[in-house]
Amino acid sequence: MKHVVFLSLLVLLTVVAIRSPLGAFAAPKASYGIEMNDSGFVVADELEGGLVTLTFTNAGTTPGIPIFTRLKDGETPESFAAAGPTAVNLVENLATVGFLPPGMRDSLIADLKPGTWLVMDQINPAIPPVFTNVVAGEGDGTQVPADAPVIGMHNFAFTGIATTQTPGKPTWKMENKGTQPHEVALYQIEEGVTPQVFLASFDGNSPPAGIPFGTVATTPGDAIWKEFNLVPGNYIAVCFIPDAESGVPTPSSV
Amino acid sequence: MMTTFTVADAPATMPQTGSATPWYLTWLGWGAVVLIAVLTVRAVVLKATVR
Repeated sequence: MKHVVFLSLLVLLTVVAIRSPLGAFAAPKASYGIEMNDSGFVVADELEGGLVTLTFTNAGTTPGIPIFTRLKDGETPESFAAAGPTAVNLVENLATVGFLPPGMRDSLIADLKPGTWLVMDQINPAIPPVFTNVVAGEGDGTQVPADAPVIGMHNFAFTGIATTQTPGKPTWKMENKGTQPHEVALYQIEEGVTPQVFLASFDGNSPPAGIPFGTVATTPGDAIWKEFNLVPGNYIAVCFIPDAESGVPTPSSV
Repeated sequence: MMTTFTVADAPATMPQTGSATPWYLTWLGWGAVVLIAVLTVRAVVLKATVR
């Protein structure tokens, strides 16, 4: 009898420990890595689609902006290469982070659709894109909180960003509800720095008047999740992607 | 487009616990307590039996 009780408790504890998401007990969460270095990009030839964590790493010596996007159905790497400057019209389902200095990494969570995806560098277009085949799947085990704050990215305004928030590491669900690609570039700014002063600091001659806290960008109808480490302070969320019609950077239009 | 927001300092009070505590943490903690208690009783019983 004693052994039955003892073994039952062991089984109970084992089940609870396995079910627990605590790091020491939970199965390690897989992460899809996309590395950029001085030779180009390194990404698996094939990825399983679904909800995944994408980690972008800059292992090179120059900064970059890795763009991970999907070719429209029917398009091929050959048609993309032949399209030249109009190749941007052949892609959709953008899932990417922002400016990535050497030695840095950044992550996001995306629901990858099956198809041919490619990664390229917006800063260094001479680096050839690398293609990967995303097959239908159930993701890498990544889970997102059901009660994640939903941030709407519209033409041209954000919704869902509370003016006062508490410290923590919330996972935001950022939905592109517009008709153009949009991004959330989050910066911490000093007290007294106005949005106008912040924007004016991007003149190419001086460092930005803010500390980058993460960037994600996606396309209409898509959503991206990202965990932000919000410490006390003042923040500004910006979309720098120019208006597709006027070409004007969208911050100046608001 | 852009918007600003503020992250206020953490509240001075302790965060609320209780109903917000995940069930698996509750069971993990109490399970460990029960296991230790059972092992203790078992050791006492075995020691008494040997004597």
